[in-house]
Amino acid sequence: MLSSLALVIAGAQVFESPKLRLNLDNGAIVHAEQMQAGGRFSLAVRFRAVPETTETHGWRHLLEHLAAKGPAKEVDRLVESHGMFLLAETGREWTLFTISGPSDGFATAVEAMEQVLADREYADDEVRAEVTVLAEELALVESAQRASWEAWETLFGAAGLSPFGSLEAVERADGAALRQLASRVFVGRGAVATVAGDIEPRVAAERMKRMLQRLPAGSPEPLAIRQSVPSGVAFASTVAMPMPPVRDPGFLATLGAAMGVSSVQPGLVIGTTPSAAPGLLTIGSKSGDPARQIRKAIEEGPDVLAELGLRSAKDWLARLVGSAEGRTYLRAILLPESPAFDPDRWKQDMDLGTARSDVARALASLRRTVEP
Amino acid sequence: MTVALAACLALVPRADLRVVEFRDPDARFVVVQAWAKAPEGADPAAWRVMARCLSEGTLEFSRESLLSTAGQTGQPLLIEATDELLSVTVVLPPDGLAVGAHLVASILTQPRLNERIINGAVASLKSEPPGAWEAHLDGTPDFSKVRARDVLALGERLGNPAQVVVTTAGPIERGDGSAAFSGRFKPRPSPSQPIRAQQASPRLSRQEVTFVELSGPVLDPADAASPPMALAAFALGVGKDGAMHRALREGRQWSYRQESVFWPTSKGWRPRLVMARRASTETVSPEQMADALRPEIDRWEDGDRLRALAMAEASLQGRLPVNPFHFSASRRMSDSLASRAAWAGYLELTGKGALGTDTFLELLRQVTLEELKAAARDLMGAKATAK
Repeated sequence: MLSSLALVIAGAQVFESPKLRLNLDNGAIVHAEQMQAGGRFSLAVRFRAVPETTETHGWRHLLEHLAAKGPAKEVDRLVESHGMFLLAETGREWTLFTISGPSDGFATAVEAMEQVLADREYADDEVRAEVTVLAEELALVESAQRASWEAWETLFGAAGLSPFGSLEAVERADGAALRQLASRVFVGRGAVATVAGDIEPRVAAERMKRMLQRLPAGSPEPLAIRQSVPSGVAFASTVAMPMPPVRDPGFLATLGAAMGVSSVQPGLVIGTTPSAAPGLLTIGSKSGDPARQIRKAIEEGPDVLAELGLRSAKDWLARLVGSAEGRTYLRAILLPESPAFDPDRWKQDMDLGTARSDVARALASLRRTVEP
Repeated sequence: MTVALAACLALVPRADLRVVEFRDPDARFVVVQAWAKAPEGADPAAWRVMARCLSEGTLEFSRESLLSTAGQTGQPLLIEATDELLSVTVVLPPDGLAVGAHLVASILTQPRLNERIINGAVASLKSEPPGAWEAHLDGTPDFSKVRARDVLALGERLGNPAQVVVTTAGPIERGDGSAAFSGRFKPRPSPSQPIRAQQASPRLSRQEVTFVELSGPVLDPADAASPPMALAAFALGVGKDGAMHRALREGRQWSYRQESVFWPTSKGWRPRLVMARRASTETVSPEQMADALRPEIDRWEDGDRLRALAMAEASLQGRLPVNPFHFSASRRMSDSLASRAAWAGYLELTGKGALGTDTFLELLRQVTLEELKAAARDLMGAKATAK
């Protein structure tokens, strides 16, 4: 089956109900999909990450905090009065804003997103206040998450800087610097607005187009390229496994291995982010010794773990692809690098392409990684 | 006694097993779930150790077969405990109701408890401190003084039908759940060991984060004061336009995370207003937190009431990421079948089974702005804790 998405060319549109995709002149992508969602929708707006240095590490995170409020700090009132909720998230490759809610709130959700993206001044005292909030946020970050950040930075260097940033760097930010950063982040290049749910695709796409087409295209600012890690590494507080790009069948097998292990060792914490680029899957532990727990789990019987892990990974996949929230999330983070990405085809490929033996191989690799 | 949820009625407590049936013809799975109350006065630490042991197998199922059978759909066996409650959830294919009932009954009535398993559970619980936020909500006890015989004594009392509610949910017909559990919970032999009186066991705390909390009385739908109190908790601490976020985070930068939580007790949900704060900063007392919130409450207009109602409706539909209804420290209400089953089963256990989400929302809609403000002010004078 030829996906309608593969036929899309810049400046043109292809409509095959119930999906519609627009490629805007400024480089942004708009995607709307109608699906049964119990009278609800999920909207995601994603912007590319721009490279950070040691001096600016965390400024994007700080910008995400401030932008999410809107110029008049009325975004949350607007959204929540309609039973919706705005989530803002900073990843290594993107900044993501999502709103989910009842379908009759879609127009309000786009209006709220427009406030988030509005070009505005950031007052220095507003920035300083938010830096204090970031320090509070950091205090709540669990040890497993911190260990995962360390693993990424150790294995990928500048290409693996944590999305959170450093407090020392954000303390150097001021209002002018953040406005300048916003002008580089909130651009058409690398931007995606995507919605799925009980919406009319053409109307929704046109509305999202109006939201994004006013943005400048922006200049190319490529991120440092991550090369695949050749093998797993057991750090003191986390175990890092190479995670293939999301469209590689090894993605689900690696996830399945980790899920199998965690299904019999409840204290383990799995961390990974689907990406078009190679990355890491980290397994941390509340006990601080994940390698020991992984060894113990695998000793119980790799066959059982492979089966449990495969089932868990496929259940995760089915729930992700089956929900409006999951579909918008996947498209938002993957469409710029994988223009032909389609969640249903991806699920089909993963379901057919991942067998218990693949998870067993990933478990064997994990076992080698944690051997004393 | 069987309760079909569509016609859920208040129940007269009886000694036999209560079975709640929840029919969803479109569901891809069946959920079989049990809620149990801890015996009066049970040591919370021993109770949680016992709960951890339950996944180690039963007299009928080895650990491996238990995990494998319960994990058929990819959603693993889930056993959770708070100080007063325990829940067991299995999610199985649509034809798995009888198997699920067998598993759940076996876990509750024939747990494999021995000194080796108990010691292993103590060791793993001691080595896995929960996150700071979860630890505060849950009041994680110190497990180092738990004795095997105390856990065994609790195990002998587990599965007492008077203290258990089971819920079956999914593409099932009326009477299926009751039939699946027929004869599964038999009267258990008289316990051979007394339970140890509740210990004043120390609670573990994290050094880097402190918590400030105001909490209200357990919600009781039969009490006219409860709906305003519940809506006040939404207005104060659910959403980023709530008073806590505005006053404590945006106004004073005291905290990154501050929320209203409806915490499950054996008698019903208790509203808790919780703020996390770095330990390295100046201490904030519960009174200071209340003082910061009072001007917000005074400023509330009808738009605030409507926002709170919108948040309540989204929460009761299981659609809010910051849903205040908790089933445990790490599990909030969602729109999953297991979560909907949990709402029904938990409320049945607490004697408030007639409280459907629609009924509850209707009660909240009737709260006036002045009632909302009065209830919120009452919460400001409520029991306060800081640790």
